[in-house]
Amino acid sequence: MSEDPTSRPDASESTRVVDIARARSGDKADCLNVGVIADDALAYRRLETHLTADVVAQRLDGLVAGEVTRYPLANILGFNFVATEALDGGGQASLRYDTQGKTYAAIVLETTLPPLE
Amino acid sequence: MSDTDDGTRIGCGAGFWGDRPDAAGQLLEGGGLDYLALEYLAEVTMGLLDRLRRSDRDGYATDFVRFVVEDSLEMALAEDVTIVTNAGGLDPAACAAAVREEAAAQNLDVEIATVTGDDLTARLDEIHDRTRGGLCHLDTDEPYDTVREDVVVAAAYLGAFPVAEAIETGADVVITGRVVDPALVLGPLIAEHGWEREQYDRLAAGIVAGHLIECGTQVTGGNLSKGWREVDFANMGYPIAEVDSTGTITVTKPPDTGGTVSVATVSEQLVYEIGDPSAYLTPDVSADFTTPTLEATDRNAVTVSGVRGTQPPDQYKVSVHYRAGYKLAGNLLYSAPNALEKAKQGADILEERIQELDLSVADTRVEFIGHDAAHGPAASDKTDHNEVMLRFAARGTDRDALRRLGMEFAPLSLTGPPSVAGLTDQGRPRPKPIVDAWPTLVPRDAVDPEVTLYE
Repeated sequence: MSEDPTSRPDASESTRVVDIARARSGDKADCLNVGVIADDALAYRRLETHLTADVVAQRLDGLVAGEVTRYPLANILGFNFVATEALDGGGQASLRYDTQGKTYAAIVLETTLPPLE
Repeated sequence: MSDTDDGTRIGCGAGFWGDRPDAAGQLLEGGGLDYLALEYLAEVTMGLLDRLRRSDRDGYATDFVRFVVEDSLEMALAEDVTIVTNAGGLDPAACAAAVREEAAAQNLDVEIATVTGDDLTARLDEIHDRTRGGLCHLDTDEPYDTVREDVVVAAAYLGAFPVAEAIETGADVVITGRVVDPALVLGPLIAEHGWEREQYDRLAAGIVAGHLIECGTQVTGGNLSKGWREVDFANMGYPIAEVDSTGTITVTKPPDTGGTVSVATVSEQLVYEIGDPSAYLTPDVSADFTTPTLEATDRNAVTVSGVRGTQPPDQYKVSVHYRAGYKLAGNLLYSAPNALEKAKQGADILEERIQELDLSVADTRVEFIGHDAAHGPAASDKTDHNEVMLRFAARGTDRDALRRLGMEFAPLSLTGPPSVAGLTDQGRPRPKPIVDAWPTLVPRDAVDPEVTLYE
């Protein structure tokens, strides 16, 4: 995991989300949210362009049965992704080990984004 | 009451029931607090409290009495720090009685106020019947009738004004049942700053302050997604929000503690467990999380300003908890060579046994801990594991069928693939009741918050 800002990838190269952003996930009943926050304005543009709701839905395929919606938080250079029917019934009913989707932010962080044209 | 001119300092010494027992002491010793907030009620906790209550145990968060009151009430009273907590759970009166009993044992004189009126269990059918169109699930629109017969608890998320009213009685300790978590912080701010119902920007600032500290150390470096190697987790500082009368917030932590407060830690917590960030709904205000700006103003101090809010919704959110059958999970550990292949065969055997025995099981789930239990299909492909833990989970309404399934795990230590260890860990797992949450909305006039002072 690259945590040194000087090693941030060039926008003309593909990048993993983790190299340009941070993220945290949690639950509300059977809904999951993943908040992703860009490290800087350029990273925010990359997320805005390439980390779409569809891309996140694809990454969470097999875990999320419902829809993924993306909401911007430009004030913190962030996006909030909300997924419905995401946790096999949620907190109490879910048969998953991770009943609350706490580890799912890490899935989104491992997404590879193409170069920013 | 406050050390500084204008800012009210509120610390959060519990982010959930199970947080560090000594956190409140740390904040009281080094926090310079006006208020100590303690949050115990996760969505899943209400169902648990109901189970405890039905088995004649306490229906409140006993950690509060066992640790905070026993260890720190004396200091809170001496320092004139008001404690505000939702530890009351399903029984704030019993929690208040336990606090009084403990205080008396320590020869302490304590005034307690409770906030109740959140418990709608006995009235839910009546509220449903007189609500146009009836109650339905907040996310799925499922009608109330699908859960009606199985409801065990229904609790409305109350707002901050009754919390402020309880503080204004002069109580040393305010104990609530279900309130929106940030109300434990907004309530004190309303009481201190005299904020009124239509001052939506200020109320929204109080909600943001509460949201930022309600999960304890998650805003001071806990769970930080990048940079976590540099965080001193063992000596973690619990968070403090200092909020002035205009709604400018500074998030910080006690000096000489671990953890870190930065724009990174605060922004990660801002997005934690939210839906549409432009409308974080509470009974007092709809807070717009897309409005505040964050700025590091000192070492371990981040100032959050410019929060905007608008009129709250006409309804209260209610968390309905209902019996939804049973589930069980059992584990078996398989070692290399071919650990994953062996574990997969173990799972196949269990599935086959369910068929052979004709067990009525609604759903099963197979996870391989060490391989895909966290990330499912998103986990990377690999086959070369030192060891893999098979986790096999099942649920359904037929408790006996699940109990019978639970007897199929231990035999795999003799009748399945080799190099398996399974008898020591839940060799015969038993089904546990599921009390599922069913969120809904009720009309505002169906809820009547109440403040009671115990002198």
